Amino acid sequence: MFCSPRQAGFFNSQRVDNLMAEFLSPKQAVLVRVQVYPHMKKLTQFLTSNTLFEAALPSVKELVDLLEKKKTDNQTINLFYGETYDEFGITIDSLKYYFILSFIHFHLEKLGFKVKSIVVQADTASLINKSAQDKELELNKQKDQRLELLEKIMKTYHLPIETKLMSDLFKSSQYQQNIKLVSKYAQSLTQDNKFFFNLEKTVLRNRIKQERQTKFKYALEAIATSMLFDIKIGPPREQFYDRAQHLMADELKLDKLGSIYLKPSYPLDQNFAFFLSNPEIEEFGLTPYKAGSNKMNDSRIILGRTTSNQLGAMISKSFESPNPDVAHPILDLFVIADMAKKLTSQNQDLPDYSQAKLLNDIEALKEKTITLVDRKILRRFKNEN
Amino acid sequence: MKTNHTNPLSQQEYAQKQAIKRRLDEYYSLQQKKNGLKSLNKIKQYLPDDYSLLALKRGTAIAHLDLEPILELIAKGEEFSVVSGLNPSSQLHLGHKVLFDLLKDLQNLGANLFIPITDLESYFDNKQSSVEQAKKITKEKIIPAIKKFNFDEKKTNLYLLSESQEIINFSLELSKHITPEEVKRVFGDDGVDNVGQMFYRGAMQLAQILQPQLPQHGGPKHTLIPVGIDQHPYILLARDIAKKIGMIPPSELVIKFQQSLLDPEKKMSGSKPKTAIYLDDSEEEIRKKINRAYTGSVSILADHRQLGGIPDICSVFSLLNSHCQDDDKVKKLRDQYLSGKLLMKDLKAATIEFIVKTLERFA
Repeated sequence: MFCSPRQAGFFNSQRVDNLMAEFLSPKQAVLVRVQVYPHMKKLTQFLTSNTLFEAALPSVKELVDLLEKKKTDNQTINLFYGETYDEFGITIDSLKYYFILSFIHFHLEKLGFKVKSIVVQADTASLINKSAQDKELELNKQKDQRLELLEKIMKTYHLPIETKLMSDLFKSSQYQQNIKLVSKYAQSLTQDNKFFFNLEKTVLRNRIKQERQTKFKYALEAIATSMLFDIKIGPPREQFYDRAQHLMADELKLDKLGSIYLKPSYPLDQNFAFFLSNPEIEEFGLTPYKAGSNKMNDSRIILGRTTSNQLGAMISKSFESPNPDVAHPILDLFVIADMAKKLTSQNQDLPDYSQAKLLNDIEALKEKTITLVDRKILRRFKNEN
Repeated sequence: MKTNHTNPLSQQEYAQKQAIKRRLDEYYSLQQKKNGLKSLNKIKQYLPDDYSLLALKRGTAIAHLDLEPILELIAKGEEFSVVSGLNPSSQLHLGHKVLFDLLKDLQNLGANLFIPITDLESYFDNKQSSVEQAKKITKEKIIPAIKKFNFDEKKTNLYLLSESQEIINFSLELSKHITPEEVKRVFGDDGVDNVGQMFYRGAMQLAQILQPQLPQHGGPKHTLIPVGIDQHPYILLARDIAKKIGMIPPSELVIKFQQSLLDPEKKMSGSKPKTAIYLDDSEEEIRKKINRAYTGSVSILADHRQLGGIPDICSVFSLLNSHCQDDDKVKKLRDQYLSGKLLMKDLKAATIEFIVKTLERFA
């Protein structure tokens, strides 16, 4: 696990307390892996970028070991990112996950690895959501629109990603075995077990009751799905699914999922006080793929819906700070747009961003971000949603 | 700490000073924990430079309770209220100035100020022989000094408690919501010597805190109360009562005391002239007081150069830290102090010059 530069955030020892395992600084992680696998230097440096990543689980070192083992065994590395959705459409934050998944994919391929990258659309999980139940028809319609838009995204940015529906994955015999195993394991535990403690942390506090009522059905399915893959790219809050999976893997002697957590996604159009009054959002961000997360869809960029004017207004009013230890909604948007620019021109090299340089002039960063997001993303999906 | 070639007595002196620093740090951290107060670290990280308060930057403000709604109002450029009373037991000194500077900063960020002069408290606590005496010192010395802080008069409600029928009426109303047991539970058995004190603490103090929320002042609103840690029980009681009577529980910002000139573990006290610099002290008095103030340096100069100093317990440095707006200057002096490069005679000379200049407007 590498150390996040946001010491006050995700890997603050007080917050993660006894969940913390190994703790390597980015520099240490790079050194250790580079000594063992010199060809992995670029990837290791990339995965320890404090502009893009929050952390890795179990650690960058172990992820590199996992990749090398797969290569030695001549096996395909299965990368994935999973997302649910709501009626508000595809957020710009989802693009960050597609892009980073793609950059890692391209890089591994260049190094001679066999790689498969999947974005799972959790259609069934979107229907579990109680608030969505009466919207089933609408959500099904959205699924079709979403798949269509995803196809356009993959083409626009030349992404090597395959899209799969969770409902299709559920039909596979491997998934059926996984869900039986996970469910049986969960049933064998008492409610005060650390496994459930982790699952409760996967949702915002106001959703815990609902998760308990469904006996964590969504979480168990998410774990069973993740077990179909080797490495997951996800938002920081998903560490708790993965920690639960690791607990189970330890007990049942199964493979542990490798995970890479990206920086949280924050709402735009908010002042500094918002982040102080909403500590949970400050720590974990909004759910990147659910535009309506925390009812903040009006403060997010949604492909095909947000206009250039709205973008300009939201960014100019947004909090952004040169302090590296706080939330960075604009920096995050900038890197998404810059990755879009690179991928559009088929520049598939791992990107490298200097947080210190980018945060040196906030006004300039905001201006550049408005231009890049508008040109490289918004204009390409005008009237799509 | 470099100990090579230093006198054992200096090493002992240095260790004693470090122990004082430890005790002070532990005291504030324990108080914060014990009273359920929140750290200001996150707020300091997020607060943009335009909103930065000297008390936050310099660590004079140490903790808070429910400050977030006030910050939201500040961020939106909306008004809020601040209440900070003053006990007229002595003339104003630099400890009071820390508070009034903070009030001025908060007013610049949108605060409507309520500054009750608590002459009745001085009387009940036997700090003044009569209410008339308390009123006299207030009118002759305190109010003129407060006016020199140049508060916006339209947004400042400065008044004497004994002359405020509004507060007296509200205190009577509140007194019916609080039992003597509650007052004792909050302040302890030793905290109340007479019935006047009980009425003051159990009702009149709360009336001041909740006054901005009275209908005549616009009804329920977010209110900030900057206080010393010893005043925290009042805030807790006021928060309870606010909920009972449909008002918004007030927010709290805890301020460190300006330390005594003679002892870093005690506060500057108006009734002990050697511990304090009054706002109307002459240049000669200021020079004399600062020259004999406690410092964070060992006595032997050569050893100070080697061991470095401890600015956090230095009564002289604390004057600059709490009052000097120049961040670069304070940081530079602090770094030099820590490394032993700053000599106490130079620090004292710089501080005397600064304080004399700062207090010119109060002369």
